[in-house]
Amino acid sequence: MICPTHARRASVFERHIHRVGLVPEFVHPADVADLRRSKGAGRPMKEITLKVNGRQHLLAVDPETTLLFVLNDELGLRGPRFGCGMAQCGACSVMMRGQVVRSCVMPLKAVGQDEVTTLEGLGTPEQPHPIQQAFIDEGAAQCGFCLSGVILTAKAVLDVKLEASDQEIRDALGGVLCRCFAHTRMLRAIRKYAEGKKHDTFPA
Amino acid sequence: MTPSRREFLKGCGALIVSFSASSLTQLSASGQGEFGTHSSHIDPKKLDSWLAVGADGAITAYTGKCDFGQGIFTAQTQLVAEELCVSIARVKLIQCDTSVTPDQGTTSGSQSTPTNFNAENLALAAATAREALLSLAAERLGEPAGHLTLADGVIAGKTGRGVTYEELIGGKHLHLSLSITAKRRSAAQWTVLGKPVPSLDRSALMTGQFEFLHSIRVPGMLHGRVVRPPEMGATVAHVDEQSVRHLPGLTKVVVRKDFVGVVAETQYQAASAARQLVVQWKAGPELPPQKNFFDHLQKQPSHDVLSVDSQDVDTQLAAASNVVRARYTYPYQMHASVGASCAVADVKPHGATVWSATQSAYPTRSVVAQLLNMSPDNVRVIYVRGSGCYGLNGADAVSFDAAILSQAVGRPVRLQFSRQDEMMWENFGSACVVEHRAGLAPDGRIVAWDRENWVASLGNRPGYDQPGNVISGMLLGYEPEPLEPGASKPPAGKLRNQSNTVPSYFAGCIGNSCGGGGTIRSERALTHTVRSPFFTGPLRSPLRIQNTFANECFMDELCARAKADPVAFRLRHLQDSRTIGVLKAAAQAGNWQARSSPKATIAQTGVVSGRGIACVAYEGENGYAAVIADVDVNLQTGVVHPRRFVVALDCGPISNPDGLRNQIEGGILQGMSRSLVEEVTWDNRHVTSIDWKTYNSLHLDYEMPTVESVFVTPADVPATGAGETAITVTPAAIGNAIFDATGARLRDLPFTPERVQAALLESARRVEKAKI
Ligand code: FES
Ligand code: FES
Repeated sequence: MICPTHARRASVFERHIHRVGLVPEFVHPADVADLRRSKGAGRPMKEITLKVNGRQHLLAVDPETTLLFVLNDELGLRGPRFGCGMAQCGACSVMMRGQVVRSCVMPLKAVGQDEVTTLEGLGTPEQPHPIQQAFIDEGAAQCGFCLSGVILTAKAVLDVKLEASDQEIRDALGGVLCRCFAHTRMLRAIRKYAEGKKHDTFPA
Repeated sequence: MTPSRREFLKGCGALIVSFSASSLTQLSASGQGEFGTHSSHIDPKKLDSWLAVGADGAITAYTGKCDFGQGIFTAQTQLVAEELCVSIARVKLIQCDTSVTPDQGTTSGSQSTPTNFNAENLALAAATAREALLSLAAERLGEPAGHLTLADGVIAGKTGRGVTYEELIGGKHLHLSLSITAKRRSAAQWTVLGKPVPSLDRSALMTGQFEFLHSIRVPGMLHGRVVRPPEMGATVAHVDEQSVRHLPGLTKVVVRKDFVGVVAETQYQAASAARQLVVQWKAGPELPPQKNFFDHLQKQPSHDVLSVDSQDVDTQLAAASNVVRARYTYPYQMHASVGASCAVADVKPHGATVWSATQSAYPTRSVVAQLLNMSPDNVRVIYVRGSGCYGLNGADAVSFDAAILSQAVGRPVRLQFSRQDEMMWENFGSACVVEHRAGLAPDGRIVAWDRENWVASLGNRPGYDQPGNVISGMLLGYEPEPLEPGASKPPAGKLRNQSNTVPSYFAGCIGNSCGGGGTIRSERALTHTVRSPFFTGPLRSPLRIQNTFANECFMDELCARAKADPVAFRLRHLQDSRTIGVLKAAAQAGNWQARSSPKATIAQTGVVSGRGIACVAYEGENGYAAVIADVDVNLQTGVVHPRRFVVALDCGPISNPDGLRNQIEGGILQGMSRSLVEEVTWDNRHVTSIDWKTYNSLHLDYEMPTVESVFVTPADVPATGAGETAITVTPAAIGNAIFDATGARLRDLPFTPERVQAALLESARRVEKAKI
């Protein structure tokens, strides 16, 4: 009883998972035998540099560690959050090279020299990024747990195509989940941001 | 950190409002009945402070009702600011920390607003403080209190002289008892309440700085994961610790009866260890097949409760000119929070601290104490907001598990559930079957209505002493709350309709007291509670949404049989003025055209549209909602697409219209997702809906309908719940709209394309047969 939109939505990230050769962190207990053959921990710590929100960090971590855990546990960042660990919900989203990446399935070693931007890298409560301001103005959240996926994905689409239609924006948000169902306000905020950007009403 | 009452007392001056020994008896008596609060936890020597006005004029208020995204933090801040006539910036609200806030049981069931905004508790504490400050000012200014006005923390007299709260308090220690006669400010006087104040968490949320429970890190903290059984009832046969010995960073494999967990230095190591640990499980019992689950449910031994029984339904139905019967089913559904639950616990030999997103700080404290074999006095539970929960998600279970892990390693542990830990083992919203029989008189009036439902139930909130009500406790060897099969006693006392078992159209008469909202006097409502194969627990609008779906769709069937207009037909059988009020308001706002359903002409192909209406008196008297749904139905694919909802709501005086609209929009859309796609699935042994590919939820790419809301606010009524009212009627409104559009009646939720297609075929067959 999976509706067609669902089948479509997972695929982008699955391809990503397979390309990078990752195993999402969970497999059904019934298939536990497969898990044991999958990659696990056990590798030694390594020194790795990581650039996040404009700052360079030197870390001693297992390079297999997922980016999300590094952002949360080593750098104390709060924007990207653990939702599913399987690239299915978007709560862990960050930006790399203008693209939204699901940090819960990205091993640190795959990040390389690319800079990572999290939700807190866009703006601050004192000086929010215009898209964050639009979300503030519209009150576009309830619990807010899902916001990294919603805001960063919308920004990424509009950065590439400011004229994106509602349909295109929604399509891009296909793999993003909000269980509080603040959808209406979120799309209104996104639209408002796009309009503002088009008419350049934002201060530089 | 949170200032404690003791620190206030140590500091310079303050005005503190607390329970006194005398008010305690009254409050705990009422608290116990309504909110399940144990009087033993309201300890006058300890946690009695509701509110403190510091010598610097800053106001700190303590509440046992916490915010998980529903906006109650902002609304309660508004409440305190309103009663004390200051701006909200002056108020600091401390929520749900068992070392400083009062025990208000669980934040749930649309009870927070009634609890803290009506006569009792927080509102009263603030009003007590205001009255005390006024009388101090009267003395200081030499004018009668009645002449004084308050604005922004300054009390001014007729002479124009003013005095601030700071000046009044000075170095004094004023310790007041909560006065149950303190007068609340009336809605007409409101300047802060009733205004669309932007929720206070917005900037931090949108910029990623908000501190969720998931971001809590404490010094020396390790990371945990649990290893759950593959299925309900499976028990540990063997844990092969050797299978993970080689992993770096592993601190310990923790096994306690059937509870298995791992603790490691980092999250990645913990997740890897949980994945690689080899555990042999003894299989649990087979599950009843999902295909015939509802038949199975109806055959099980049950605990029965008659809500109402006029004892004449059989004779009335036998005499009725027209009898309509129908059976409705509602599946298990999940809270399925976006964030898998987590908790941090720091258990030391002499005491424990747990950071938790539980809705029940004090009950969680008691259960954690029980599991750790400690006194509750030595356990502190600090609420920190997690992912939106919508009821009893994994937040309680993860808090218990984190405490177990921390105790086992003697260090603080952060436990993160995996998506599957969350989705396989949360307490699902109950599956439910409802059977209706009703008789119509020749003039279309309903003469009798008989209703029976079967509810699958296992466990619940753990309360103060029932760890077995959730998976963690069961794995540790505790039993869930027992369900004693047995016949119902005859109904007695006042009508209880907390689960909306009794349709709004029943007179609800027990003896001479008629507590229902309607006119039907030949009435029977019988509930069978049956042991569920899965854990169940409150999920937004628990049982209310299931029952209301069945009641309001069946009402529509009766209406169609009587060939009447759905609004007029409802009004004809209602007498409760507030339900009538929202029904009329929705009809007006939605420009309802009176006619019978289904539409007179229905196209044979393409996309057809229709509209349906449904209404409810939530829990019988805790909020009123009527919803009109306009939906499109694709006759080929069976896809249902709601386009517009019009909501009329009566929740008494509104604290924050913006917050309320946000709750309504979210409720309607969540209700829509639950109506269209959400359903827990299983095979012969396992739950199979365990991630976002196997449990459906409408994602952000779904083209959402518009939601318009109007509010009805009768004069002089107390505030009621609001967050769960609109969602309660959503499935019925959609089902009725599908019928209006197509003539096909959907009686099983969710309304999947397959079911819609089957119902369309069935209704076409019936039309053909009628022609012959
Ligand atoms: S947590 Fe990464 S997509 Fe869900
Ligand atoms: S606002 Fe709660 S999940 Fe989106």
